Amino acid sequence: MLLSDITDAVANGDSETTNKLVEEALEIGYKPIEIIEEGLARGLRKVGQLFEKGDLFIPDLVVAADAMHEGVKIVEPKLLEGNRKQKIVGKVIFGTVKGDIHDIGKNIVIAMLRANGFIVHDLGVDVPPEKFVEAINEWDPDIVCLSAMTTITILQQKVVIEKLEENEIRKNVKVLVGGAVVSDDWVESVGADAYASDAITAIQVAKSLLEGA
Amino acid sequence: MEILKRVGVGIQDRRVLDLLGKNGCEVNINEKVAKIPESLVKDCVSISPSKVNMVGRDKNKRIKLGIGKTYFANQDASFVEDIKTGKWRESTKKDVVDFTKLNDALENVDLPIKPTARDLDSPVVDLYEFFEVAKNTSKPFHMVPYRGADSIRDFVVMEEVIMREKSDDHLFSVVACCASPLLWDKWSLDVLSESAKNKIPLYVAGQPVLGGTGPVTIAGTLVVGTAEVMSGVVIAELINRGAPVIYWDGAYPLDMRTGLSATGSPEHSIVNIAVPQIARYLKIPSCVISLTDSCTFDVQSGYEKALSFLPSILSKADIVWGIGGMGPSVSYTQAVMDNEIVDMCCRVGRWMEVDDYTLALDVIEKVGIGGTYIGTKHTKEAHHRELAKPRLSNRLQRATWEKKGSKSMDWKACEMVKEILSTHEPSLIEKDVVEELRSIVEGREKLLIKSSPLPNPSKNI
Repeated sequence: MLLSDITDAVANGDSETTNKLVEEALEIGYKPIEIIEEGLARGLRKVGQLFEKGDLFIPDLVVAADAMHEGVKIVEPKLLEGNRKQKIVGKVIFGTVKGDIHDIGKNIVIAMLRANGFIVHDLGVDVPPEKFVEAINEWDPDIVCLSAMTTITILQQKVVIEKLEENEIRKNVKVLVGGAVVSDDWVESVGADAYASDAITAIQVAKSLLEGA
Repeated sequence: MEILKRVGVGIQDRRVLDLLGKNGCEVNINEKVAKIPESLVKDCVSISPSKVNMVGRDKNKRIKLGIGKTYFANQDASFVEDIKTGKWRESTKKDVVDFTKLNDALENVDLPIKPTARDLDSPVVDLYEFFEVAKNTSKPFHMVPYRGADSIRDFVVMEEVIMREKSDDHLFSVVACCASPLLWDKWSLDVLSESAKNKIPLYVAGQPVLGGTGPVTIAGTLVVGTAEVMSGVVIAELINRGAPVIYWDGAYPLDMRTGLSATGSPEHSIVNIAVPQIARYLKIPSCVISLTDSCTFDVQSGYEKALSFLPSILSKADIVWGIGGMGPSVSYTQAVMDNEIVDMCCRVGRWMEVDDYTLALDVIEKVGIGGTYIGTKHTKEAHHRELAKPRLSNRLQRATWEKKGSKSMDWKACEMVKEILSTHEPSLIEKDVVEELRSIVEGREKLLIKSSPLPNPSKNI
C-alpha cells in the first residue's frame, strides 16, 4: 500500500523515495492529512519508538526526521486547501543566536522535536533578535528555542527576550534556552521559561511547557 | 590539502578573504569561501616556527614547545565543582583566584588556565581575569580574549607592565577556534589576526566532533581538523611571517544515543595519539586534551583521564591540556588527581634506561641467590629516580588502611586542595606593578562603560 511505502521510506531516511511517493499519493488522490499522519508521521514515530528502545540511534532519527520534513513541505500547501489542520503537539521556532554559528546541538534537538510531533521552523544560525520577532509574528509558535554555545554569545539570549518584551509578544510564547553554558541561574536571570541540556530532556521540557501554557 | 583545495574554508571577515585572495586563493566574496592551493599551505606551514616559547613573571618558569618535552595545562570552564558541596555551580572571580593559586602550586601544571569569572559585572571581565591570574601565578598562563582583538591589545599592554621588558617569549597564550566543519567566524579571525600581529603564542584549533561536525570515521575527522588548523596557520603566517602557532585538536565523537559529546571515549584517545604525529610531520608543536564525561570526581573521571593522558604522553604531544577539567567545568579535586595521574603517566613515558648502572650486573652478582636488594647502595641511590612516588594513591594494605580511617580518594584529594589553598603563597608581584595594572583595568572599564551599549556578563550568570 502506498501509505505504508511512504512510512518505510521515511523510516529508512530515504528523502528521494519519500518525495516521489508523496507526489504519487497526491496525484492518485489521497487526502493530504492522511499522507502526513498515516504515511509520513507514522514512519518517524516508528523510528522514534525504536530509538527509545535503544535499537536505533540519533543518525537514524535525524535522517528520518529530515525525510519526513521534506515530505511534509510538499503536502503542506495542499493541506490548507483541504481545510483540515494537521495534528500537532506544538509549534516551535528554533535558532542559534546572533554572533554564534554552532548548530549541531540545535539540529539534533530539532530532529527529536519533529520525531515527537512538533512542527519546527528552523531559523538557522547567527539569527538577529529582530528575526525572532518577525518569525513569531509570522508563525505564531508555542515555544521559541534559543541556542548559544559560549559565555559570550549566550548574552544574546537576554537580548532576544528583551526584544520580545519590547514588542509585547513575550507573554505569547514560552522561551526555552539551550547550549553548553546554560543553567537554572541563567534561566532566572534572563527571564526564560526553562532550559534543557540535551535533546531527550528538551522533549520532556517542551511538552511540560505546553501543559503549563 | 585536498579539502582546502576542493571545498575551501568559510571566512566571515572580508579583510581576511581579501588577504587570501591576494595570495593565490580562489575566493568567492558572496559565499565568503576561500579555496587554498597546496603550494600556499606548504609555504606557510614551512614558515611557521617549529618551536614556541613562553616565560612566566618568574623567568625560571618557561615553556618550550617543540623540543620533545611534554608540558601540561588545564582547560577553559564556565562551571566549577564546588569543593565544599560537590555540586556544580557557575565559576566566579574567587575561582579564578583559587584555581590559579592551586595550579601555581601543582608541579605538573606548566600553563595555568582559569575558569570564567561569571559573577563579574564589567565590560572588561577579561582584564580582571588577567589581573587576578597574573597575581596568583608566576608561571606563563593562558587567556580567553572575550572582546577579540581589543582584549589581546589590552593583554599586551598589561604583559609589558608585568614583564618590564619586551621579549620574543610571551607571558600569555590564546586560542583561535575554527567552527567545524571548516568555518572561521569573525571573532575567531579577529583573535587569530591580532595574535599573529603581536606574535602571541596561538593555539589554532580545529575540533570536529565525529559524526556531528566531522565524519564519524576517525581518519575523516582528522582530515577536517587538519584542514582547519592548516587554514588557520596560512592566515596567521600571511599576516605575520613566523607567527608562533600550535596545532590544537580535541576531536571526540558524538554519542549516538544521546547526541551529546563522548569526550572520554577511546576514539578521543586515538585522536590524541594521531595529532602529535601529524603535527610533527608538519613541524608545528602539537596540543591535545585529556577529557572525561563523568559529572563528578569518581572512578570514571579517573580512568578516562588516565586513558587520555597516557597515550598523549606516549605519542609525545608537546602540550596536553585537561588537568582539572570535567566537561564544561573544572574540579579542584580532579585537578590534584590529574596532577598525580600525569606523574604516573609521565613515568611510563620516561620508559627505562638501559645501561651498565641500570642492568646492575655487579649488584645482581653481589646479592646472589636468595639475597635481598632493599639494603643495597644501588637501591638506596637509584629508587629516587626509578620509582614514582604517588601521594594520593593508596599503597597501604587493607587492615592498615582501615586503621588509618579508611580514607577515600575523594577525601584525600579534598584535603590536599584545602592544604594547598591555605598554605601556598604564589610569589609576590611588586606593589607598583599591581597598582599600574589596576589603573589600566579600571581605566579601560570606565571608557567602555561610557561608550558601549552591548550587554556585559551580568552579575547573575
